[in-house]
Amino acid sequence: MAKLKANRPLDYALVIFFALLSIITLYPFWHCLVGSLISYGEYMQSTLLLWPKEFTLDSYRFVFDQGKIFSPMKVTALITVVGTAVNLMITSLMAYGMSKSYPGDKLVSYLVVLTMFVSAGLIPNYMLFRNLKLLNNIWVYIVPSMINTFYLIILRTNFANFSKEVEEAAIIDGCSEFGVFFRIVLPLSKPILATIALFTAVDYWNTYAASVYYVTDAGKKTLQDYLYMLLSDNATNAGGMGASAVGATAGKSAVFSENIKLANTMIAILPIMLVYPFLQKYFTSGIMVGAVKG
Amino acid sequence: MKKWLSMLLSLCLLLISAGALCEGATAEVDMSEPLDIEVMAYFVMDVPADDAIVQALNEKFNVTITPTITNIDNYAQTLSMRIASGDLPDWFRVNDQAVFGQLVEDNMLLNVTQYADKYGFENIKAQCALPNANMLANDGVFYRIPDTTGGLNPGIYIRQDWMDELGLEQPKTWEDFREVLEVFVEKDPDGQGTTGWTTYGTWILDLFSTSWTGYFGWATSDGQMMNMYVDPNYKEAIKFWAGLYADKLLDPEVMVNSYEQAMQKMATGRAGAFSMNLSTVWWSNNVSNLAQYDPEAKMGALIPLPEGPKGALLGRPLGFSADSAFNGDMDETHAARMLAIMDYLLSDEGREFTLYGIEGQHHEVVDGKKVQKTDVLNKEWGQLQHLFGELADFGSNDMLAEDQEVIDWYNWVADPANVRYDMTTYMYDEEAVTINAELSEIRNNYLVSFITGEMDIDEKWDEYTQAMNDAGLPRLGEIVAEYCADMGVELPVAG
Amino acid sequence: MPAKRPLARRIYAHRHIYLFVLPGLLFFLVFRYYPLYFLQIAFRNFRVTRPLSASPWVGFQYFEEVFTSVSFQGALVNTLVLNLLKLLICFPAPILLALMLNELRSPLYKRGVQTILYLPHFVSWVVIASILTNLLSVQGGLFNKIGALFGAEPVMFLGEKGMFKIILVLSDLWKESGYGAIIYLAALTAIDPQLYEAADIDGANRFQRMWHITLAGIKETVVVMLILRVGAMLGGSFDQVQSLINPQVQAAGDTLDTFVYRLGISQNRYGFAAAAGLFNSVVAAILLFLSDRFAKRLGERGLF
Repeated sequence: MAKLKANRPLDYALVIFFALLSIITLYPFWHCLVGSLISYGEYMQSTLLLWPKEFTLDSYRFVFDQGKIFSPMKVTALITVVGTAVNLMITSLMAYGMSKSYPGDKLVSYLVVLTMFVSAGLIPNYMLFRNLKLLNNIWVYIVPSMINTFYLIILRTNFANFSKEVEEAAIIDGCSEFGVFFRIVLPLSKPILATIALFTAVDYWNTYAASVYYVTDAGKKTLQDYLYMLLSDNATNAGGMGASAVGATAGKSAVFSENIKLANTMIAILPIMLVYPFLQKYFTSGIMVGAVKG
Repeated sequence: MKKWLSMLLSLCLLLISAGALCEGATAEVDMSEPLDIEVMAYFVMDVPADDAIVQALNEKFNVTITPTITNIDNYAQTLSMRIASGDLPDWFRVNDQAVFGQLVEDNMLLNVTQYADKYGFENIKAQCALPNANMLANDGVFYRIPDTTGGLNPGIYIRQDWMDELGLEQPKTWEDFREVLEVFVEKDPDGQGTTGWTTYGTWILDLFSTSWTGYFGWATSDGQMMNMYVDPNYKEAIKFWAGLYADKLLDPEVMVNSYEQAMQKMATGRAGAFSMNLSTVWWSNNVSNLAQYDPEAKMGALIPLPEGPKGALLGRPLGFSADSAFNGDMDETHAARMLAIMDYLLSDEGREFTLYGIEGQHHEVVDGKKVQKTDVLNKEWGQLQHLFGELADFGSNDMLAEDQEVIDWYNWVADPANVRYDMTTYMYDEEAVTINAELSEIRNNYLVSFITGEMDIDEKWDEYTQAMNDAGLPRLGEIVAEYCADMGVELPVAG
Repeated sequence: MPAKRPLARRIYAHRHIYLFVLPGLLFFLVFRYYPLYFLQIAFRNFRVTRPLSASPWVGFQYFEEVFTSVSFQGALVNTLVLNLLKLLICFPAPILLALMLNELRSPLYKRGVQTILYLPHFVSWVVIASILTNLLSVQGGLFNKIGALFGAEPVMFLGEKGMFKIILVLSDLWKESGYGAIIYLAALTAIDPQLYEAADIDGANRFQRMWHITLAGIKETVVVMLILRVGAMLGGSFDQVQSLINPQVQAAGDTLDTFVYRLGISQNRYGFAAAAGLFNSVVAAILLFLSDRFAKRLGERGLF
């Protein structure tokens, strides 16, 4: 990074500001971490969790008990990797196409954006998936969510900003449209692609509803679904809202449920959190230097 | 001569066959063919393929049972989707009146009564003959098998050690209870800043308000339909709760609390009294939480409930829930087999089996009594009653009660003199659903403000009742009156 | 007057583009548009036990039920006010954050801070709600404890109608700003560093650099996000509101999403829910269109 005119006091102010902000922002995560490592007794007695008085892995032991968590974990890992790859490919292809102007581009834009605000609901989706044989099938996690409209728009905006001269130069050099896309545009769009990859991976990692409604085989359920089942909302059992609640959960219920919720959160968060630092290396600037000059 | 003989012969044949019919011989369930049965329910966890109880049932009835489990939050949606796509499960729980009503109207359910009669399923018949179970029938025919909630009722937990320490006696009336709370708050025995009485939502208070109104839900007054929520006696109840709230004897966060938070307050000395379900499971939970916090503390329960102007009463919706229904589009062998399984589960043997499981694996025999291995059960079944036990009758859980407080509570609630049921719990009518939705909104807005003191009850009561009437309360009353007439229910008299 | 080339010719000239766009379009048609035939249930008395075609037509009955519901107006107003507040406060925050992060000298510190800031996003609203309830509790919650130090009376934050929207906005800020900044950070990397050097040489100070180069560089991204945000004026925040709302503050916190959930979805009133959803979609489409127009007036590329 070139040496630009510095502004010392501002620098210090920024550092302090971010330090404070980090502490405040870290608290929810910290709360979950500490809460998952203490006993329910200790949890009950503290309003602010700062440091465990007594470490215990009981909550984690409960969650990992019987090794039942590994199957959903595998499923979720699989769909995250495959889903992100498929998603990124299809979405960036379409985003690139949409960033050009061509007959019908307005229509396509409208069609695409409008879907963000209108949805048909569970029942029609269920019937559609049934007809497409997607029910109880791993692909139900991937195919219907192949394109996220929001990310599509973001990518399109970025591709639209891509330097025209570079593209034209490549075409003059004999590159096909696809060649331009794969060999020039994509490699030079790493930051935004990394961003969308991260967001998409997070979305797939958090897959829950599809597992609940469209999948019945225990072996195909996702992590979030499994974790939620582990907790099984006791509220209706506890209070019996109306006459519709039955199903007591002894022993493991409220005695643990708060801590387990937090342990679940940690298990769900940790892997995806670790991905970001790896993606950070794509967030480098200076990518366009020299590209235009050539 | 020949004519005579043939006539005699045919007469004999006629008499014999008539005799056979008149004996009321029930059919035998044909167990020869292996069948597949899908059971759909909500439950605390997935039932693994190697589950011991399921396998035992499979062997006994020559079937392969496939449980499809979701958690309770998503169950209604999942069932709706299955129905909408024409893919009804063989055997499933129904916890939504609208869905059930529609299934019956569109002839999609099995006629349980018919099968129970034909095959002599005595246990199913006994279940259908339970008090008030007839409210689950449609024109006298059962399309679902009643699943009782047993003793699962909200009660009042109390810090017995505080009572003893402060020399307080068991409160007899609600006024006495108020005095107890006053002492709790003033003396604050644990020094944690107690809030007196905590719970999680005002709907529990409604159940206790029955001691003011004398009924829960609907009644008649001067020949007119009267709804509890606009009854002047209910107003008095609300005044009482508002008084508690104003004097900080009722937790100011009563409407903000989740049930876990309320439990936490009770367990850590920040509340002296607490209301939630008083059942084997929840009692032991709350007691053990309290013990973790303070081994010297002692939990008690207020049995009987405090008395209001109309006595010591608890209001409740009718105690059946998530009853089993069966796909009507099934051949007779299949259907008979399923109901045979259900009949077995409802027998004494079946109930014990789904509570105690297999000897050695799930329970031990101590002094001639069966004792559950709770660790094993929690792991294998997710709770102390197997899915199929819960499917048949959740109320079997009551057999597990050991703590005296719980047993006393179950006994008190089982006495019809102490409980007032809302007989319209299972009414299904499209128009009623729409009106009720709006009434709930109005009711919540006003009642919450009355209790917190934001709105003055005397000032705004008429405005409130007017709003309820404008939103269709009289029309709802008509629908309810018709329903009660159809079902042969006589409503109590208010006032 | 030069005539435009005939349509067929133009399509052929751009044929490569269609290869890019068509697979995606197919996806949309199959998975997003085809199921929309089901929107009819906003106009039909649908029950799951009958096929849609057998459900009687009821016209605008459900729309009437939605609009005349006692809670509709309140929910609508709350939604608009809440979203406006979020637009004013929560929308610029990630942008500012990205800009400030960009100014940090040490790459290591920057990375560390970024990672921390985006963490709350991964914690679900349900968990955040229970954390908040503890912090805001009138009995020994942190905020009240601090307030007591200053001699203030304990306040039941989550029970105050006047405070609820503020709590929603601030908690959203807390939870999502860090994650939202990532998009802008990515956009920032596309700015040519040489522009900075040139500006430096020309004597621009830090703020001028930021305004003319950085902000200008991410302007398109900001505009697109803004348009989408305006389009979402009637929706959003279901998880957040549902986790935090309680009967005491319902009048102040009930949004259209929670209203529809409570009165429609959780009671299996399909027609009601669909009518409300359709209303929402139509308004969103109009808002989207209008804000796009407006952006184009200002010279931006816009969404369409």
